[in-house]
Amino acid sequence: MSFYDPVGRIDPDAIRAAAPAAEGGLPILLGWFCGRRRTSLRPSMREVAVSNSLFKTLTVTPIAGLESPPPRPCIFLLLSFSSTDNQAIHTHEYRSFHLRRNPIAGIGVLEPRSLHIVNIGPDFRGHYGSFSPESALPWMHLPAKDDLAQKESLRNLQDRAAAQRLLASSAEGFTVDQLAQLVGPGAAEYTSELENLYMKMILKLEGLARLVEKSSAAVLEQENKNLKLRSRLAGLE
Amino acid sequence: MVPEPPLPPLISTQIKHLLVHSHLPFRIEQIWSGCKNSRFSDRFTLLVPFCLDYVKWEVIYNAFFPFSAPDIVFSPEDEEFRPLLPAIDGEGEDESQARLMRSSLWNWNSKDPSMLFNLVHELRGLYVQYQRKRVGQVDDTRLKFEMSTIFSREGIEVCLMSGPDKSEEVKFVVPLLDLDLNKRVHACPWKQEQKIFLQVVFPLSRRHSPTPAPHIKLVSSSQLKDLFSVEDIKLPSWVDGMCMAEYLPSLEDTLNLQILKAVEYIGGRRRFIEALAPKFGRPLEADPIFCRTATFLAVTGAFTFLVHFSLSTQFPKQQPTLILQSSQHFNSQGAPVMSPPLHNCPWSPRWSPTEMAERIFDFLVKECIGFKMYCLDAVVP
Repeated sequence: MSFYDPVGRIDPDAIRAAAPAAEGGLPILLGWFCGRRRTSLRPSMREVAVSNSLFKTLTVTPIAGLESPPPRPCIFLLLSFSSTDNQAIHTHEYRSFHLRRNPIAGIGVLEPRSLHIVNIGPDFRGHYGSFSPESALPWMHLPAKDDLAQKESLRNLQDRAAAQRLLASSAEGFTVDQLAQLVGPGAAEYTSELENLYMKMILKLEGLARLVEKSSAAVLEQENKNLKLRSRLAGLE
Repeated sequence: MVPEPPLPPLISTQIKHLLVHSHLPFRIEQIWSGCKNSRFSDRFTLLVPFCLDYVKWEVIYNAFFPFSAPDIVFSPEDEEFRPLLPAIDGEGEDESQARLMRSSLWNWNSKDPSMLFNLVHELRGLYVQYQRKRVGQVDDTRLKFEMSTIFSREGIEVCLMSGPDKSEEVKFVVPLLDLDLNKRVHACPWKQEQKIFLQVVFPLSRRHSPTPAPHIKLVSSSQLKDLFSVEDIKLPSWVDGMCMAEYLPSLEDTLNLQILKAVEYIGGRRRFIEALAPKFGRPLEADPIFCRTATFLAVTGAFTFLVHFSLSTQFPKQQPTLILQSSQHFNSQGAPVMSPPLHNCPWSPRWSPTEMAERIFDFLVKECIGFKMYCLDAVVP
């Protein structure tokens, strides 16, 4: 229970802390979700109350400068996981709901809605077929025959620095010049360069993976410590 | 199946408190853990007694947060039951807020064993109101009349039932006889208050054809069976055009008489058991409160056996059932050899207890020879 209490009331401060506020007000929320293992996929009494409080609490002040009021948080996603005894099959179930206000009763009613999830597999080939790649790197000029033709303007230098920073985020120690050589008719001579780039990218990835691993281990350790403290407090030890 | 881990002490104490202290027969159906490899379980199905039946509530605790209050998922047909929101019939924000502030969820304290008990009873009270409201919304003149005339009685529960195959029905459960049955029995052993209910099920017909008669049934709490069985009571017939407010007084009169008789019958059974003593000797064992059973030791020559008497609530109209049990012969499982129940001893309800005892004694003198042979046959060679 992070932002609500046992009877389902919202703590706006907790929401403000969790999501950076929009201009001068509370953040715009679409809804919330709840994951609980091995339980029925029906909203519980508290979840119904939380959805209602979210809907009511976060829509009081319209944001200045916006013509229409922000959308009310009205989506609720319920997730449940279970697995067989031998851990061979893991089941992830989900159901989505849309909170609609009942005009007579004045309370919101959670209505089930179908949820379309785009996934990998033959059924979704269309989604991948329509994919067009986009690169953040700048357009590489073909190496000019006449060096004088391309003047090193200040603007050009700035662009290059930005591109270099971008490249450094995925491969360490590879220059834009080296990358530029890989484009154009002479590229075939630079296969070793390509391998070099690849190697550097992998090194970078490995470094990142190690960082993630370390921080995950730290988080897990802290979680275990917290759990032990809570258990001790509850007299379970 | 991997067995589910046990419930942590904080939760099991609360459950125990609920099951022991409630006057209603709550039950726990299934216990499981939400997490694999967890030391403790933290979810269970609670069967909540309602309308002489049970509704299933899924109670969800979190073993990783032992101090958090539980949450409840209600049955699929009770989606409109939203106890944490203002009730539909114009309960204002302030009233609902005041109600919530009194609720045990507001100040949840996991270390207090009565927490779950309080929560479940609060919610059950709201559930009874919720079902009343649902039935109140049914457009049926007879039903509206029944409710307006009968709801002044206390403790009535109603519910709207609809199955996929059946049409809709409304069930009324009316507690009968505003008296403490436990006080009627001397040295009463019942811990829970015993009650008799009338269950009336009205079928709802869409057409305006003649309204069908309701299905009527008497139901009693389980331990009352020792005193008398409601199945033995002949229900007054439901005349066409009748309503419950008319039906109940005559039924309650009949029941009152039956209970008086049933209490009298205890005395009759006691006198019979006492009359057996001069012939059979003092009983080895006898039910001192309802006098439904008595066991005597009998000897013929070198053969000793036990005689078990069981007396029905209809005694002396119904004769006692006798079972003989050898104290010398054992079957292959090591259990003592027993006769099948004997119903054929000479009997008349008009005889005096002494005569009843003498006739049974004479009957057994003849019967025991046959029983000895039966025992020898039953024993493994």
